[in-house]
Amino acid sequence: MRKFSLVFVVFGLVVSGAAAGAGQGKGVPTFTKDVAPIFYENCVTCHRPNNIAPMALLEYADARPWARSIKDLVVARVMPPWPADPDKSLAFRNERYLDQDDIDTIAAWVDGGALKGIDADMPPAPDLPEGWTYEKGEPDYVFDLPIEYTIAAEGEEDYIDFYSDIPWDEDRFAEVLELRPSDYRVVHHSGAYTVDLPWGTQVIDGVLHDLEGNSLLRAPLPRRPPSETVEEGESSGRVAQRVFNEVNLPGSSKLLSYVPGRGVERHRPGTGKRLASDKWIRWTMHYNPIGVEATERSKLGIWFNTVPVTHEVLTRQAGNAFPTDPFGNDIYIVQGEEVKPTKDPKTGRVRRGQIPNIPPYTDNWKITGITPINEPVTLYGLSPHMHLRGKSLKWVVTYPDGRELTILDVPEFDFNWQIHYELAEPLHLPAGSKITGIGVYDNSLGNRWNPGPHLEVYWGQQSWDEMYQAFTEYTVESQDLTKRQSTN
Amino acid sequence: MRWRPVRVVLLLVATILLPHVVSSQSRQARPQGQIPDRGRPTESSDEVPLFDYDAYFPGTWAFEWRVPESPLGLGGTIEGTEVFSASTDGRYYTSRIEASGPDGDFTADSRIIYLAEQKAFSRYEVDSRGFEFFKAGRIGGDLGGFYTVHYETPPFAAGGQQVQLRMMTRLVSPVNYRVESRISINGGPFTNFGNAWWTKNVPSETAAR
Repeated sequence: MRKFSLVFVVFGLVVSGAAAGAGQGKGVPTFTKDVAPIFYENCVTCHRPNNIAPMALLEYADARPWARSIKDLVVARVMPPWPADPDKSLAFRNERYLDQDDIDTIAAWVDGGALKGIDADMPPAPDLPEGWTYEKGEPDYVFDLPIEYTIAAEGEEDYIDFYSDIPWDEDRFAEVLELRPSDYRVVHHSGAYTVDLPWGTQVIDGVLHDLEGNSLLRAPLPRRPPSETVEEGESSGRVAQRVFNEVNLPGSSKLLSYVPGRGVERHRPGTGKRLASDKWIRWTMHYNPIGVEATERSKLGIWFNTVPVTHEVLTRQAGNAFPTDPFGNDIYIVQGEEVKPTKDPKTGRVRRGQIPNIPPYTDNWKITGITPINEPVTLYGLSPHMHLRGKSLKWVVTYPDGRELTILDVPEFDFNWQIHYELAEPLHLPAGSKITGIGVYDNSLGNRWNPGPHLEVYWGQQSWDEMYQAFTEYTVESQDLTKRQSTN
Repeated sequence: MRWRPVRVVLLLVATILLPHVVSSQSRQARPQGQIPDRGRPTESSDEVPLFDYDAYFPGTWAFEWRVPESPLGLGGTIEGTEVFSASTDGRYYTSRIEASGPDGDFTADSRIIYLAEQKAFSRYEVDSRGFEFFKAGRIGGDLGGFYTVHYETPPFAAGGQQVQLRMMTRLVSPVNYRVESRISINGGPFTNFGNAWWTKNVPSETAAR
């Protein structure tokens, strides 16, 4: 009797185990049938081999060890990452949310033992272009970083610039751009711009050199002799070169940036970023040593416009003067006080005043940038960018009748996951509106990414300095490039 | 008791100065980063100070770590504290972890050697879950005060298998650090072993304004 009972129990365990293993238990979701479709739809753009996420979720074997953490993070809505407050922001066409049904399915899958299910239920893997995040196939054209750059195991990497020639004979427009590192571990961030070469320089093997052939990769740019005329809006300084080197309207030079969470920009048909035939692509690279020597060669993928472009997308920050206003000034208010423009007594040129530094042990330190809209624009996208002390960033539009509309509120800015927010519907703003960006900084001990709360924070490019970049993408509606000659 | 004018003046002075003294002491007690205040933006020729272990680690830190299933234990969340003690004889430091996770409660005791001039760490850790390992690594920093220790273990036995760990400990603030870890099992490729935050217990009045 005892032997019979044992056999019966073992048989029962085997049968129930087989059923559970195959995921046939009533109401118990399985990976192959229920969970993989959710991951394929919402997660694997990042969670696949050689991409930015730290682990893949394409296969059961990838996901199973992380089952409990996956449940915790999706239930808490930490994953997929979407830092905008959905209740205080407009809708975005690239927003990432899991439906509550999907969250419940994942939670039930984990609670039910994270079963695999049967292979026949497994959906086909999504057809994602190798390496590219943009889902509609290979780019029309790919720029490679001119050299394969070696990052030392340790030490400090300055910002470095590389240059690629634009190889076509007439201006072309990009509807979609993607900036993609070859090794995500070492790229702190990068940017691509269309520029002229700085005064007194040439490009050799992708690197700026002076006219005598000396590398300028880590050297100051040559200074223009005072005897030579400086054109309006032009400067021989490296920073000024970055800011003012525009093809047409201010804001046209910047193509896009890569930071973790961002690196693809999709413009609407009929709009795009100009790649002028007589310009160069400047790659601005900031690498990060990771303890072992590494090599990196980013790529810039271009998907050209398929319909004629009428409007050039401008990338300006809230606070910049309106692009078609030749007399406009940047408007910034810091901790309630406007930063007054200053006038150069020699040249008479009016410049933005110096923005004060962020004091030590200060939280909720606020800077507000205001751009008055002088003529109608259409707004498409927003990219918050700050550094380690960045706490929150919010965009508010004020209409001519005084109505206010918050278009994006990022209440907990994350330096390590910065997103380009693409409005679900382009937003028309009439003349007389204004765009306001409100950035808040935390230089206190309460900011867990703050390496030096005892230090005054300066404005600059290093991550321990700060930036206020409420990047706002829009077109000026009066522009119609199909009716104008290029102004190159 | 008579109140002489001198006493009254002294009392008044003390009353006026006391808040400032207390405030000053509180300010001094605030944890600081390791980069000196130069009164100007950093320059690439500036030197990164050697990491000061005694100013950073000693004290009690709380941590939370989401780990995958592995020979080291079940997958899930591990929560606990780690107490770093100051060196008593100048040769090594110690730490003790008391934590609970999917496998239940456990402890881990470590001996740590930090050679500042060599920018080198080593740590021998004995875990009550039945494994022990040695790890060594170098520390590097940047001019913002962001130091990183790159640890690696030789292969060690755990759960009947050979395990190797690589850990990047990013000392991102005076009171927070983040451990980004990868694991190799039986000589296989290194895969994600989770990212965890350690947060130092400091008096609340020094932690935030």
